[in-house]
Amino acid sequence: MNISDLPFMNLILAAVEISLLFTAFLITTHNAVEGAIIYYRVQSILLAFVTGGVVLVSDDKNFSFSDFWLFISVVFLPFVLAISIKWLLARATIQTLQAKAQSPAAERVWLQQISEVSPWSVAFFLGLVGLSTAVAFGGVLRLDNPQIDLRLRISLLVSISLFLTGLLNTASKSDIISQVVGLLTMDHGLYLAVVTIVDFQHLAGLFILALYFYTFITISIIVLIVPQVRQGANSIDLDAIARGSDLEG
Amino acid sequence: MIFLKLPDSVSRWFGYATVIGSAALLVVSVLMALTSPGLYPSPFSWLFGIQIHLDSLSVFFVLLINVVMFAASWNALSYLEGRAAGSFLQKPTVFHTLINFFHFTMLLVPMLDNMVGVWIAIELTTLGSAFLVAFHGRRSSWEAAWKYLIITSTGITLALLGTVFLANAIPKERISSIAVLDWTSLLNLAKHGELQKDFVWLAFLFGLVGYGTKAGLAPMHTWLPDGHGEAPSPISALLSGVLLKAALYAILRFYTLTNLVLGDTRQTSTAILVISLLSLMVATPFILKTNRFKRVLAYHSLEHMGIITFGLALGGPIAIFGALLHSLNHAITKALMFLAFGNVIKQYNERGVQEPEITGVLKSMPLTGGILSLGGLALVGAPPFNIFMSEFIILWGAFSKFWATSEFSPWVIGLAIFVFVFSTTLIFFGLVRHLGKIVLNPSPRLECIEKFDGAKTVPLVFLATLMLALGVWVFPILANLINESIKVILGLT
Repeated sequence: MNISDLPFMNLILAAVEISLLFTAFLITTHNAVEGAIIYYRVQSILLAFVTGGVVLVSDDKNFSFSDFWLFISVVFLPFVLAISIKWLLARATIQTLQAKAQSPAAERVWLQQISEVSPWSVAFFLGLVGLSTAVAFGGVLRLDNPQIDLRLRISLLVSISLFLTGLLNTASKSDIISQVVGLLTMDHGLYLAVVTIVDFQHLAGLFILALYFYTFITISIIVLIVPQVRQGANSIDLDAIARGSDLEG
Repeated sequence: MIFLKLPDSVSRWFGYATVIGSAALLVVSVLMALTSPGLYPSPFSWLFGIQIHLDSLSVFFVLLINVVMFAASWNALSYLEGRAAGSFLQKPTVFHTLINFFHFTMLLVPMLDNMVGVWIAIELTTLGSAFLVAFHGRRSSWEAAWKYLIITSTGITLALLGTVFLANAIPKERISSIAVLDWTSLLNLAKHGELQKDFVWLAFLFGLVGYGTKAGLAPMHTWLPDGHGEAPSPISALLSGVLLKAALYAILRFYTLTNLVLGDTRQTSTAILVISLLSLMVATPFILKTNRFKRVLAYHSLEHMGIITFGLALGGPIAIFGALLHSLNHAITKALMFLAFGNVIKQYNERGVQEPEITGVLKSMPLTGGILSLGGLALVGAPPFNIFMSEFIILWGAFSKFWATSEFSPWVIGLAIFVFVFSTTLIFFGLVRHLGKIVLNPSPRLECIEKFDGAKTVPLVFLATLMLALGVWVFPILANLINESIKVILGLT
């Protein structure tokens, strides 16, 4: 029996995709860095479930060896990010050299960080989801092609929403860790778009390769540049960084 | 770690090898420019099945990249001389490795056929250049690198989303391999009306904003002043002269496809015109106010990207000719300014003089000061320099659109011309004021400090010669290459 014969699988995937929106909402509206990281990790696990599920229910009737590798490649990245992100961010924001070897000491520095959340963030979030809905369901760009089915429209809605809320977090949060989480949320939106929207058999691999590059560069930022910025200003708060900065005008 | 143990002589030889390599690539690209487009090598497969493909537009951008890289790599020899390497990133060998990687990734952009490949190449330019921006290891350098990474990474994801939409515009039955996202294949599909219009338009908008961020167009330009201002001068020259143009190249590819699919240029031209005028207007106040000179030059890049896209938005062979020529002219002139001012900063800093006390350069460094003055005059569009020539052609294109039937009403073109002329005039006075202070104001602390040094002078003379020559004569080889490139942009090949 082929798993794609199960009609409810698509429904389950669509439901999990919608739940990604709730994690994006929680990341956007939560003011503690620690909370945002937890929701980001949940989002990564859900994303791995969706992307893996999409490979399993793809049109190809025979699950081949190449499908297996595709399954591994689409699940690997969100899964690894879910596991490693907390450690990476802790390492990037350690306070002292002594703390370098002690993750708990390192964690204290950034887990206590409270990032200011705009009172308008809920409205912004809903506005962005509304905009994404308008794009996906034809209100803005009249995507009235009958070939675009409901499943694709939902994926489009969730992808663009994740992407835009990531952008919102990058632009509006007041600390560098939340900016990185914003970038990685955008990455999730792209990842979902690649796996669910583009042709799976031939093109997804190339886009996934591109996203691996993107994630590699984002992680490089975390590992190499965040510690330097934090050490210079002795803070991860953007206002504190800007106060003593020469970069004006 | 091997870099930490290499003696200085090895890193110097690495620097010489970089210059020789850049010179060789420049010669190859000139030879390519001399070759008829029909004789360019056929597409051949490279990494992961992504093909290398060259058409006239690619060759034009490869030439532009190599001209600036040759001068910047040569200038880097003197820039690095005598600098104490405090950290790993400040090792000259690391610098040369990163600048070569940066050069390589920028060359890949116009040479890759696949649109996702182009995106990967542009994303990879970030990796090498970010660490070069942070080269000095100052707090402000790391902050600039951070801003650069965050803003351009955000932008570049928009461009990838645009490419995803482009992929979705392809009919399912046409997708048989990743080659369907090759430029040559997409062009063919667009010409036969097989791409879905809505998704192509969506792809263009995301591509314009995404690659526009990397191209330093307003309102996504905010990384420019920090990145250019903090980077070592040879890197500022590459960022401003070349990297912005590499991103522009990607926009041009989206522009061509979208125009072919939509059947006219009205929508794309309007979107680009808005961004170009915004870039011109945003740049103006920042150039007029008192600021560090490298930051002024960075805002000036914003203005010139606005001018280039202004020409592109107007469309038509004349304005696009001007826009392409302006890309090359701006690359040459801006690189010259950054390299010359980098020499000035180094000489003054070694004597304990920092900005804003850097004045009287014409007296203390007559040759460099003279070249800096000429470059400044060229940059503001004074005749008989190269920038004047290309700006004049763009304006000519604008006026020819004003009288002819076009996608814009005469009122829109008239308003656009007014914004163009008004902002470039204000910027003229702004830059002349800044430059006048640096070059002509008396310097109470320094007498003549300039000694002839080939590594410092030759790249400046090379660029200044090109700047002067292109001001009076667009070489037939170059004119031919640009004309062939226009055919590519208009989808006529």
